[in-house]
Amino acid sequence: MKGIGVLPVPFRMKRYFYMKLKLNDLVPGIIIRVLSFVAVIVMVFMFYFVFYKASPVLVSSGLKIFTQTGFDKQISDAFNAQNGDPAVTFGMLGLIGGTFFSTLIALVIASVLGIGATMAICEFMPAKLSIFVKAIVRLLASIPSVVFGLIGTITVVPFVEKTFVTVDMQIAYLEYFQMTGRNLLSSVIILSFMIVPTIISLSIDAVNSVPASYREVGYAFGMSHFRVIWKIVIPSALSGITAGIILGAGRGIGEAIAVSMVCGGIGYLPDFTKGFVGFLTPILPLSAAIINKSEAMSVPAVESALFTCGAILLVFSAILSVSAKLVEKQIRKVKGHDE
Amino acid sequence: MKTSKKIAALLSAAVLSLGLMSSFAFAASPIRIDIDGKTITSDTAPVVQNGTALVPVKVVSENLGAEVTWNQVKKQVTVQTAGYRVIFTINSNTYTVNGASKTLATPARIINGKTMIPLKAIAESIGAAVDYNSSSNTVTIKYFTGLTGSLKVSGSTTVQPIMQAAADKLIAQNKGLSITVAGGGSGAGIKDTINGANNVGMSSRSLTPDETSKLNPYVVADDGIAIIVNPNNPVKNLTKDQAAKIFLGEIKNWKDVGGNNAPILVQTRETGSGTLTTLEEMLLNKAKVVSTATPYTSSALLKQAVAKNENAIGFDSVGYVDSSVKALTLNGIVCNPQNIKNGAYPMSRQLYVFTKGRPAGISAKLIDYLRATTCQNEIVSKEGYVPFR
Repeated sequence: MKGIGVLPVPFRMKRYFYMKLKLNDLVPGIIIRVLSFVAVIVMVFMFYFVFYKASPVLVSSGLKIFTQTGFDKQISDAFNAQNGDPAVTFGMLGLIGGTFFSTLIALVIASVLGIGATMAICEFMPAKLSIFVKAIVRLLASIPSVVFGLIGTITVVPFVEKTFVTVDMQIAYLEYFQMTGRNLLSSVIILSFMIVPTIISLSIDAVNSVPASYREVGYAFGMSHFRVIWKIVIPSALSGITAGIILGAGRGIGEAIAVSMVCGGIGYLPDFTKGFVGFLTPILPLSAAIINKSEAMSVPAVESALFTCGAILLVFSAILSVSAKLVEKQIRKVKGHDE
Repeated sequence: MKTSKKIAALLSAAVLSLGLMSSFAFAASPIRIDIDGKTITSDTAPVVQNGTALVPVKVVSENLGAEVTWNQVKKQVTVQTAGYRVIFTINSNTYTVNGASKTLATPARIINGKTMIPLKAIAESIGAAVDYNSSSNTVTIKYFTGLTGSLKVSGSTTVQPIMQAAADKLIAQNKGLSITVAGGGSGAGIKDTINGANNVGMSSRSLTPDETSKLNPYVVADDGIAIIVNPNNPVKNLTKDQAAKIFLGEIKNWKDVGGNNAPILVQTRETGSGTLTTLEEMLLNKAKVVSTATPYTSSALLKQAVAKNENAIGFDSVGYVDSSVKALTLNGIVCNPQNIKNGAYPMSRQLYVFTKGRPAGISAKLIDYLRATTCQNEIVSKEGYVPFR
């Protein structure tokens, strides 16, 4: 049990210098390292917890999670069985399909709108107007999703129903599903509106960071404004735009409240071989399923099934964020410039 | 030993003299009883015997939310609040509080055919603050006032409006009290209570034997499940059989039950809803609602969907029915408080709140408040539900 007081003199000297010279660097360094370590631990714990809770259903369902449908009935059956056995087979193909289609289609729409809007803001608008529009876009990005959901139920749902659904169609399809305004199309519309601001915000930053000299080269070659945008600005800003799109995809996949209010709430797999009817199918994306079915969480099997939805979402978003990095890196490599 | 005897003697002397004094005072003017700032009126006036005020049991049940039962064989009155069970035996000087025996000077009596119980003893036994002011000859009882602390309540969205209104009233009359009321559905409420995630849970279905073994449930209201359609729907009545077939998906067109040629769009609640469970038990013989029905996470969302869609049909607690939707008569019987109370309406049920273990402190007070006649008449009725007493 040696205290500092009994250390030999040279050691004390060393310690003194050490403190004097290194303390300023050392302490913040340690704090930052500890904090980042905590963040990593939390992440690891989150993955562990979600997969631990999901494990009974993951084990009992296996690959059927990805190949079978009928989630709603399975939840209802598990709830009414009331025997407390968490190992029930669930098929989440409908949920995964709902998430996939709604996000993908919304992403395509939002990307086109977003890139177009970005070009309008950055290239064509007078400076004062563009500042104003940028502020509105940022505001849109920060609107709570439940507001989008409310707007969706009040305006989008009746609009879709009036425009695309007829009573005859409703009667013809009642055997299979209720054709109302709550469906894939409404989800796509709402999601597009929610994703667009994210894409615009990131794209604006990317476009603004394209050096002016690049454009000047284009103009020097006698290119039109449009060709400069198409051939120089967009390719140069592509890594930033892609990052925005991938972030938007993350928002689309994870969005729960707004979508759960307009999606129809039943996990059908849209069938596009029947044409446009596929868009009028009620869906239940994974994140909305967690919200909607949480009423039945008192049953262990349902709880485990919902954590399985969470686990799939977690993996999806992990893949997305990793691929965002990879894509960005790849694009930079191909374009051969570094920032 | 000696000192304790002395104290006892002194005390009894004090009690006796106080009793004599107050009996003299009582003789002069009738006693007044104030509970939580409100003067109690009763068709049977309180009686003073040996300095103790005896009140009709109704006073306790109406104002303190207690349930009173009478055992003719044992001549016992049981006063049951959420937290306490007090048993008086007529003309006996001993009474029990949660099983513990206690003594009192003036026992419960039957006077003119009415059961009268000692006010101070019962009030103090169940945790009320009792004060007597001799100059105004007033007994002041504080039961639902002077409460502090915070409570979390969650569960059935059917019970939620009653709970929210009761919580608002209690918060208004208690400065240090906070009660947060959330929905989530009966299933979630039950789970939360078992896990300790809330203090009080709400359910619109009766608890299963397994749940009852873990929780202490209390009835707070009677309720009927109304079958609702859009106000523009010409259909006014369904037989119970027709209603069942619609929700099972066997009748798919409104023209089959006397309406327009239009699809019947069944709206339902998500799995876990107590209202859905009750509907399936009472209307569908435990069969499931047709799988194409659109599910909603709350009573309010379901009602909104029916209000927006001309061909929709749904179900909601009678407390949620308003002019935006139309409640159908079932077998010609209107879904109203009277028909629910006497059981004529086919889908009548009870609503519950519950705690894990015996409720204590403010949880018990909240439950007693919900069950008190004042709340039953002023809140439960006003919210559209049916008082259970």
